[in-house]
Amino acid sequence: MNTPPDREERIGDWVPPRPQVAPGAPDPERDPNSPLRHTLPTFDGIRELDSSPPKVWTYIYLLTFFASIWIWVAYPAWPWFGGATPGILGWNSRGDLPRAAEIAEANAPSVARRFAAARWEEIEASPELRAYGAAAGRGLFGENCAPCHGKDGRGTRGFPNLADGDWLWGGEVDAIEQTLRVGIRWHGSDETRTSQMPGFGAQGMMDRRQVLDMVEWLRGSGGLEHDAAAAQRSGPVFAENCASCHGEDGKGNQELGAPNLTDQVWLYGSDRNSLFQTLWSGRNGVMPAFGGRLSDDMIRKLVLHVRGLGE
Amino acid sequence: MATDEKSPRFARLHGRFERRAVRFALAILVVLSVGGIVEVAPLFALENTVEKVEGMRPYTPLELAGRAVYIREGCYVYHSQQIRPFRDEVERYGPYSLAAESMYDHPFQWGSKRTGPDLARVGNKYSDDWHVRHLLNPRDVVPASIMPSYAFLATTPLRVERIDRLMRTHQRVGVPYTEEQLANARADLVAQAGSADDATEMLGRYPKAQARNFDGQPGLTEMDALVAYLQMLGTLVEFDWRRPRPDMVR
Repeated sequence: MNTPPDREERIGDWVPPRPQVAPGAPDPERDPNSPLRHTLPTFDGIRELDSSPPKVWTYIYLLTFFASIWIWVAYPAWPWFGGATPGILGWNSRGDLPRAAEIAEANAPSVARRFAAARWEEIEASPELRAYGAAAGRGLFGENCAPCHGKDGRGTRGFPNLADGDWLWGGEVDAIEQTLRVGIRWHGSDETRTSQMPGFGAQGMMDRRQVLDMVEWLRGSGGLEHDAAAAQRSGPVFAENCASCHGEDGKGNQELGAPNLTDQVWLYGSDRNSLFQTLWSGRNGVMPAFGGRLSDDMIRKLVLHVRGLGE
Repeated sequence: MATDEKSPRFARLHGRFERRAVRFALAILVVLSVGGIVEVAPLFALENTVEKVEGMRPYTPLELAGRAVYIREGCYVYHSQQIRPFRDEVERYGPYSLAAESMYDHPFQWGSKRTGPDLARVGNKYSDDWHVRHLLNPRDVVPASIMPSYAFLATTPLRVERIDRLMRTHQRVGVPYTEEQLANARADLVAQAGSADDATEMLGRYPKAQARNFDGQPGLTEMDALVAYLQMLGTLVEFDWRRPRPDMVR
């Protein structure tokens, strides 16, 4: 009864030896759960039973087969010369995207829809809309603004701090919106905000001595340790070269993006080397225009977030 | 013994393959190539694989040199250049990538992993100054960044003489560079890294190109080339993903 049958498979001419089985003992070449009666050939003397996988796997395997056939029929599947089979559902991811966006908009909370439809005055008048916009702007800020201005908007050398209440081009919603839309000295926008801080030394408008004196004046007006006599000397030079943009009192001009020179905000550093560099070679920071990249709705959310950074 | 009678023919067939290595390997090859032929071969003949769009042009010499730096430094291992048509992706990165936008890429830079963000539309998103500062030391501007520093690019002169062969190679694999563009390759490369006023000829040959001193420093370095490449990514084709042309959504 339990005598192992002859092997049908050979490896070369070699036939694995049959194990000796006592009468009545289970057949070592048989897995009781398997319809197969043979082991696989021995590998280095190790026998391996050729057992079937559990039935549930077999059914799942068949299920995936039928599922794939459904997918072939229903969705774009088979590339062929002249086009791919479109599938009976007519679905594709690019075509679905606008629909998905519409559904998302339709299901947006009512405050989102009211925000999108509101004018600035209405938003300003409503704490709810203001709070919504600022919160929604946070994510946009992280993606579009934080690389330069930092996650918290505190900026870094050359990239202004947006949280200090000091605005180069104005901190009203309209001004911030305009800056976001057209950028600053941005090559890709015709309406971009623009002005020039010339290299007074490099362009020969001041000599080295005058630049060094002006550095002391700047440090003095910003409340830093400085050489008062040198600062005194630069009065006429300031009136001639700087006052037209930064004002007689040095308090700056937001129309021109000219910074206030009398506060403690130093965009490019307050040490003497940096200030010398600023005066000698000029500084003309660049901000990209986001008007084409972001929607009006997104820009207004950003405006509210940016304005709220300092609060 | 009842089950013994069912000793399946399939198992015998399977056994016959599995026990003979060469035969088994050949069988695998046949099965896999069926998949390959069916899935891949028709793509070369498909009409709707590459959309017909306005604005695509071959890379300028400077952009192409920057792209070579991008590939050499393995940027594609960490950054994808492929925005997928999902709502979260288009909201973050902009309109999804079209096949046409990679039509002059040999090889394409789609990538398969985003350790850093997708770069398919990074062009004109940040200022040149930001790109330079970020490449010099990413932590200067993005404190949490794990990107390595590429400061050496700023001091590595760009090997302009390589551009001729690089462009010829691209022409050979199908990029339609004209003889005029090839003849002016070096001049165009240098001109693009100068001011736009001096680059009018070059700008005529490559519409929508941007010409300026990209790294803000004198001298033509690999930094100029890489920033020029990054600043043009995704800027050539304009389309509205909310209202795609019918041939784009086939």
